[in-house]
Amino acid sequence: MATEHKWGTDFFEAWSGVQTNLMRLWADTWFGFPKATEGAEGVKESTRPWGTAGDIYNQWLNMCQEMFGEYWKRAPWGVGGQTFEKTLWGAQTYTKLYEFWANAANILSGTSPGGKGIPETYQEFCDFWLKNYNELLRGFFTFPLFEPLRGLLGSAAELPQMYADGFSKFFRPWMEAMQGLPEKAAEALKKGPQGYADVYRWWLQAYEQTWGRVLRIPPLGLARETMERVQKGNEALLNYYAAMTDYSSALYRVGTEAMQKVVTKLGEMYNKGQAPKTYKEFYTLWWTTNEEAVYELFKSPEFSRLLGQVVDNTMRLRKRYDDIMEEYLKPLPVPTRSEMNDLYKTLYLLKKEVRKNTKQVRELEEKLRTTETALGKEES
Amino acid sequence: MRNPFVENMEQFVKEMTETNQKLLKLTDILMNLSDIDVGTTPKDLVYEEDKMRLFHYKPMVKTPCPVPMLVTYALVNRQYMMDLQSDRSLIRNLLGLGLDIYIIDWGYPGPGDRYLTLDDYVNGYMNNAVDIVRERSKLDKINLVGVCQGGTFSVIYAALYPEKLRNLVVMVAPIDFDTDDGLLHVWARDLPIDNMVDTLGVIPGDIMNVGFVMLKPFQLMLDKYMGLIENCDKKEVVENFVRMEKWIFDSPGQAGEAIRQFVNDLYKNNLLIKNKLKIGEQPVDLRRINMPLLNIFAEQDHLVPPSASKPLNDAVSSKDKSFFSLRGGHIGIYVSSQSQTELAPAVAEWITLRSQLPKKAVSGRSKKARSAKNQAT
Repeated sequence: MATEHKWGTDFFEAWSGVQTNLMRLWADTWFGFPKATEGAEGVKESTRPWGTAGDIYNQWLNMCQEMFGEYWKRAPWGVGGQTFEKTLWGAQTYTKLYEFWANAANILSGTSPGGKGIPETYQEFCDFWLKNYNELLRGFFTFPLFEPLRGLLGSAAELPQMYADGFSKFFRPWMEAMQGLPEKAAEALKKGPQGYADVYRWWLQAYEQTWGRVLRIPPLGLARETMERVQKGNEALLNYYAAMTDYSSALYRVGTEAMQKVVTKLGEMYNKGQAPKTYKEFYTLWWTTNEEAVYELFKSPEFSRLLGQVVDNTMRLRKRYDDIMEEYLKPLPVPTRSEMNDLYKTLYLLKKEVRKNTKQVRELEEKLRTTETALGKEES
Repeated sequence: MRNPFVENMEQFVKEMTETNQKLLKLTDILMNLSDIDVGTTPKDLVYEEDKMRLFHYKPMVKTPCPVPMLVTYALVNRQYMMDLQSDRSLIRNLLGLGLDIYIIDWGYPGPGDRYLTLDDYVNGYMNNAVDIVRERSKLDKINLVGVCQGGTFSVIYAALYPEKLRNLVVMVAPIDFDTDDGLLHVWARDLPIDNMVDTLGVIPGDIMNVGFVMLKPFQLMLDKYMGLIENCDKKEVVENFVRMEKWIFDSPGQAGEAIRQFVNDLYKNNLLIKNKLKIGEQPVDLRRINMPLLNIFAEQDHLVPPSASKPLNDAVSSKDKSFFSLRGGHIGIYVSSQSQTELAPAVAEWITLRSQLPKKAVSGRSKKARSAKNQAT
């Protein structure tokens, strides 16, 4: 056992040493590089060896996550691994934010090669922002939480993509036949997540008035009950998508507005000569501004309603899913959730009855004892 | 506008290098971190019923307070928050200050517990725990300390069984749910709790946690971990962080029928403060609370805002009633240094002053006599 322990220590020390040397090399390279290229026009970060500084840093973080992710899956204690994973994720978001901001600010400051006029630069900035900031937020809302939560929050962030995928794979042929779709889709692209939400609503309305009615025709025959369950499941899925689209578009809208606030604040600070001197200062400005913005959204009755709708539709979908699963599980020799619930209820009521009766018996025993004692006293 | 970072590339590299070095240090500490301890203050199991367990802490003084106190914690999260780390343990502090403490551990409800109601919790488990403490101390009345949702339970209990309580202390307990100060109060209005309970039975703790971290998403899902990297130089800091992390995500599921009533009757319809709540068949009238009351709240509590806690004092008929407020938030009330230096002494003094017994009362009543009394009641 002692040998194993030493091996573990040696391994970690070696690993740690390699990482330290790697980071030293990384730091030395990047400390030296700007000086070496000072004055060289048109040198962009992407043309530097090994990609951007952030790239290397991210590669290192990814490697650690993968390595420790695998390691901790087998480790018994659990909590340390999750903390480590979340911490690395925090560092990664920290770096991603830098990359986003550095690139966006590059465009805005006109440092892109072949400098452009203000309107063009602004347009380029907006396009970059729309494309990449949502990606950043998506990363944020898929943070490493426990597995069950990843799906819940991750799906909120991934919805526009899911929607787009669904579009092309299943609904697109029908959508293309619908009049006005190209215009709507183009509009959605300009408006970002809110546009997706609008188009989805429009699509759902069209669906319910046309194909939805066709698909809701009561099934007949041997598989009638099963088919009906599947139909209801489909409807629940569509409603879930609709609710999630509204919800996630509200989150993205606020995220984008918050970034606008960050930009405005930075501009004001810069003009006053108070611009952040370190990345940490910028990061703090970024997250506190975002926190304030989401708080304003979260305390509104509108958000509460959206959240309620998401949870409600998630539950409806889950219920339909359970129904379908139970249908398929019926022939198998395993108890279903409904059957177990019946059992739980019976057990609960029985336990309650037993407790009540036990209490009554004890009280009667006490009463009997008291009476006997009183009688004994009278006799004596 | 100029890019504030391009000219500060060296600064960025320096910051990232430092962050990386701290990450390595953190990795080293985490790799060598053995199982963390929580709730280490010695205690004995004195009663259990289904998944509920009643513990008695070993007194730390020769002559503890003659009237024991029973701590009722929330169903959400675990009661060891009050004894999270040995150098910042509210429980340990109170024991050191001479209190005699019992605590309820509600356990982790499983699928079979979906039908448990508030009636089962209050009139069943909690009432039985109170009776056990009364029986062990040979006293008719004990002190009850309710924390967070456990404070709401304690207030309900005090209104139903005032004859069993000598003093009531509530900490960060929601009583008046009609407030917009906390997001939970706003969101609960649209929460489809009936659909949730019908679908899931027992509401998983992880779903509750999503709601909690969403209250401050950037702080709780991002900056907290960056803060850990920043402050990972000391092993104790990392250990305490992991302890807190364990507590935050060690979340029991919520028994379906109990949380259904809690959300519908309290969060949505605010029946408790209106004296319209019923537990089982019994109406809950806060005016029946006549024992001394200490109402403790945290001034920056984002989960249970002061506006939800303070109205209790106007709703009861107790003549001896007071507030104690602490700067900070919901969690800080248990683990902050202020909690240890101010809250614990204040609670201990308040309880001790009101727990002095005349000699006759200390001698107590027999179990037989008490049972006879219960039956007559």
